[in-house]
Amino acid sequence: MSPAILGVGHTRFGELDGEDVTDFGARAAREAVLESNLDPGRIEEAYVGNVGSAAQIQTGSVGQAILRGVGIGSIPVTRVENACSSSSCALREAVRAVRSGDVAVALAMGVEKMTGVPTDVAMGDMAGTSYAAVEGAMGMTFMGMYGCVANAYRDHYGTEVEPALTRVAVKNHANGAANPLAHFQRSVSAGSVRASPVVADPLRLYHCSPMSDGGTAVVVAADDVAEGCHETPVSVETVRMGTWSPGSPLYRDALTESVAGDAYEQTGLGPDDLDVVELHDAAAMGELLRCEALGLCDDGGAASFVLEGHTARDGRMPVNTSGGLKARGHPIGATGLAQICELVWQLRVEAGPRQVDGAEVGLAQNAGGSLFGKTATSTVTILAAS
Amino acid sequence: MVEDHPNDIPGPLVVPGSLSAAPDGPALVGGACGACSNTFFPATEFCPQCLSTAVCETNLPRRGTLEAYTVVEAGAQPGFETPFPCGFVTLEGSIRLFAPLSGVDDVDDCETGAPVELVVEAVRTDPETGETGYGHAFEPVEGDA
Repeated sequence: MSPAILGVGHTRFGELDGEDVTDFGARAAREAVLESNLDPGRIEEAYVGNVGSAAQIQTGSVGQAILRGVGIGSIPVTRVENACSSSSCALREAVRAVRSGDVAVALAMGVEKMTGVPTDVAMGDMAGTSYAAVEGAMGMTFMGMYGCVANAYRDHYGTEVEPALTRVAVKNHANGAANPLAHFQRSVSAGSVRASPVVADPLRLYHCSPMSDGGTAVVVAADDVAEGCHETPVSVETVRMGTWSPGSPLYRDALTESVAGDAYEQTGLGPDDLDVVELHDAAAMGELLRCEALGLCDDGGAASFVLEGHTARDGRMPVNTSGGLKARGHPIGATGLAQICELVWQLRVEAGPRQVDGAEVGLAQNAGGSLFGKTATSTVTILAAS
Repeated sequence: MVEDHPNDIPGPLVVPGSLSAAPDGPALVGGACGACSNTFFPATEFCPQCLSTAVCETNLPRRGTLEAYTVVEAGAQPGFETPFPCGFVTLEGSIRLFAPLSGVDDVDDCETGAPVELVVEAVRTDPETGETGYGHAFEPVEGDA
């Protein structure tokens, strides 16, 4: 049987002034543990996704420091660093620990502090998630890379991408406006997106995710623990992960295609079975690429798929109902589990104004880092209502 | 003197060892494997394909194809001026790399698949020391890719 998610925790994302990863990380962990109805002593192992804490001289033993705040010690705690996919990779470890039978209950967490950190340090953290010696050093930035990909896509398919990028920004901001934990809780108009400054052609500021602070946590347990513990446990059908391989063209995310293919094959599910999707829109172009890579629409068809409204909350394939990285915010070590939190709320019918009717199966796709223009890590998680 | 030796590298490189002064102009330095004939960038102490240590440095082709491009207007890394035209180039022999673009004012000067050629440029000013760092850049050129 599949492991189950018994509790989730998700702090407000945004500028958490005066707080560090230990403060808000502990808040997320507390929330997840309390919601699970398990005694904290039942947690046998923990994994924490985080990128910058050691470099920022906050703390190197970040997971241990967070867990101290919720009275958990002694257990194995491992930090997972995989750029923007760190916490979905932490979830993968927690699920593997439970699935293997090594432990009955594991905690996955994600934390990141990005505001109030000197910009050059934060930029260095980001640029360092490439092949730093020959890419970061030569000036590569992530929005620069997504701008490159958008132009390669436009040239390959002969499709203008700007209208679809702007629609993604408007949609995700509208979703963020309905998410009380989002970094940006306000709608924006297409006009204001187009009036925002250019970051990396064709991407404007409002097409790009922000740097945010935030913490997330998820309690994962074996199915027999789950019984009688939580009224509505959510089942982890699969967590798949893959990494970079050379050669594929820049206008498609071949890695995510491959990882999603594995996830679909393993679960016997496919794109038509999904009711709600959270995917990696670090820039709006990421949403177009990954709609295709996940098989939600045809290759080259993402722009019209988005413009026809299919990815809206009331569309046939709602994408990023949380607001996505764009509006929920992107504390890079916490993002992967924020996607999981949103899916859990959707599948438990607790998403309030963002609720998708009849949501029973959800998919989260999280990407991390880049090597030579290609995604370095991609994870695909499929959850189902019990 | 740079004037007397136009093929010399004008100053310290942002990526140490990445460029050499070849007789017909500067060249990117990659690795060549004597065991499996793989060429790669950057040069490393063994072949990333067959793991042989029978590798030597080689001057990579100076021409390539522009695979993707943008002009970064904001959020550039410290030491890089905006606007910062940059992109991904595939060298003859299929090595893909990120590089600043030269002779590009806006994206209308670029097209996927266009031929580009290596130039050496001042790419970065160290924010602390003010020292200029040089490195590879690619410039759109006439002709076939």
